[in-house]
Amino acid sequence: MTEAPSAGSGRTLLGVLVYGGEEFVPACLESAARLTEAGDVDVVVFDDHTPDEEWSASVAAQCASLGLGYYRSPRNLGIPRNMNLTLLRALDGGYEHVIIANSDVVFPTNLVPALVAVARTDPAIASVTAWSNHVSAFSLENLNAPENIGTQDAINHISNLLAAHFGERSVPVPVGVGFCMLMSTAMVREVGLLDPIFGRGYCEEVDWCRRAAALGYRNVLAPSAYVFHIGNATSKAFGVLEHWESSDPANEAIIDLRYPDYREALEAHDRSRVIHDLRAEGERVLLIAAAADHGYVLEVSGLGREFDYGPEARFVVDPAGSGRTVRAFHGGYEAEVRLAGSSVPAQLTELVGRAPRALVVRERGVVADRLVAECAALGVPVVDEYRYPQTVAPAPESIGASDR
Amino acid sequence: MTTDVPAASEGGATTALTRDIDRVSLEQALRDFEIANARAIDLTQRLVDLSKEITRLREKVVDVEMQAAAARAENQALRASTTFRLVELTTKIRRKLGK
Repeated sequence: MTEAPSAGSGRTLLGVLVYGGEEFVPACLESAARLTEAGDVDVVVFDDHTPDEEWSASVAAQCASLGLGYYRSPRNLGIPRNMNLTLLRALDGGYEHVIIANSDVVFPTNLVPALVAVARTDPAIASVTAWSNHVSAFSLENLNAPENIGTQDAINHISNLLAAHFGERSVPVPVGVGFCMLMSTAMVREVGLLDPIFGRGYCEEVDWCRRAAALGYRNVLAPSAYVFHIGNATSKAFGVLEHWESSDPANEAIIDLRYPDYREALEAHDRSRVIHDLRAEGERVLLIAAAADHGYVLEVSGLGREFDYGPEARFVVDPAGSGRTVRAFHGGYEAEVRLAGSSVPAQLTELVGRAPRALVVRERGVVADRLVAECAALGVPVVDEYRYPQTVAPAPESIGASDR
Repeated sequence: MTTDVPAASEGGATTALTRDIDRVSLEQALRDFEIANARAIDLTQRLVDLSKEITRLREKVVDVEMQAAAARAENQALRASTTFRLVELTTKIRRKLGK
């Protein structure tokens, strides 16, 4: 490996790529503006010559009102060359780190400190990609992301919960994802710019990350910075992708030609289950926090209830299972919670820090009988859709009228 | 935010930002052009080399096809000869006689 680049000024430049996108750009810019409040972050919006000049003017005006830099290319350059302007600007301006980002996102306010903290844990880190509901194969998905996590408060809440749990932890990934990826400027000097051979865009960051890896550097994902991402919207606005596509086959062919082992590396990474485990851990954190904040009901049901009914979290026990694995649902997230002790409600009470509001029995059986007894011992009301004799009906509002 | 990245509202400063990025953009465009030009020259050379290779292989294919055609004709002539037919007939008779 070559010698690790030296540290810089400590400042970070965020470059946001804009091309059209009236539906999502304003929210993105507002969230970007909040990042500058820390004082060591600058934001420049790179408008890649959006054809609608009136729209461009409105973006410029929004940047002006938010205190963001704005640059409109004199002609359309495509994503790689436009993002290279961000990298060049960062090199020119003496920044320590640079983040390239799409505009179909809402950034959490902890984005920069979380990514920078991870980058500083190891000088061999080439790129740090933020976690997201939509970050290629590394996603922590949300069932209805725009509604659940598409606002600043919501994404801040999720990202802060994950940051409190994961801290400066990172996981290795074969390549970063350019929707929101941090690099140190020293690393940019070492590895070079994005290759303009990728034309209008797609796979340019894959190429960059593989070049970095070939030099002995690492690409990582930071679970402490969680970004809301619509996904492919910037590329589709650019015309890089058709509405049915998620990548550019011509650019993928270049990657296959240059890095014949890349797909095998992806498969090996997938087999390692590192993302699977990270996802399970993150989901568990979010679900337990949601249960603690909003309360929760315990439910015996054989049907996967993957959608939400109300403000409470739901912990669902399979009536035909062992009764020791609970699937939890809230806010578009789903988690599996494994329990080891004797009483499910007692363990959940300890885990969450509060007792379930109620036990809802949708299917009877041995598991339901045991849970009814365990809940009765704890004074947890039982709502039995089949009218268990020992039912203690709670007030409807205590479990949410929409629960049914 | 620092003064290095002025907001769009700061008239003169905006011009400075645009001027700075225009400068680096132009410099990079020239580098990109040089790289693209070098790649075009390299690819052209590879194309020429590969075209020569294709021509050589095509000639080889034609040569092999001609050799195969000659061998087929020779084989055909052999099979059509009186001697070959006589030997073939003898073989059939031997099989029938179980010898």
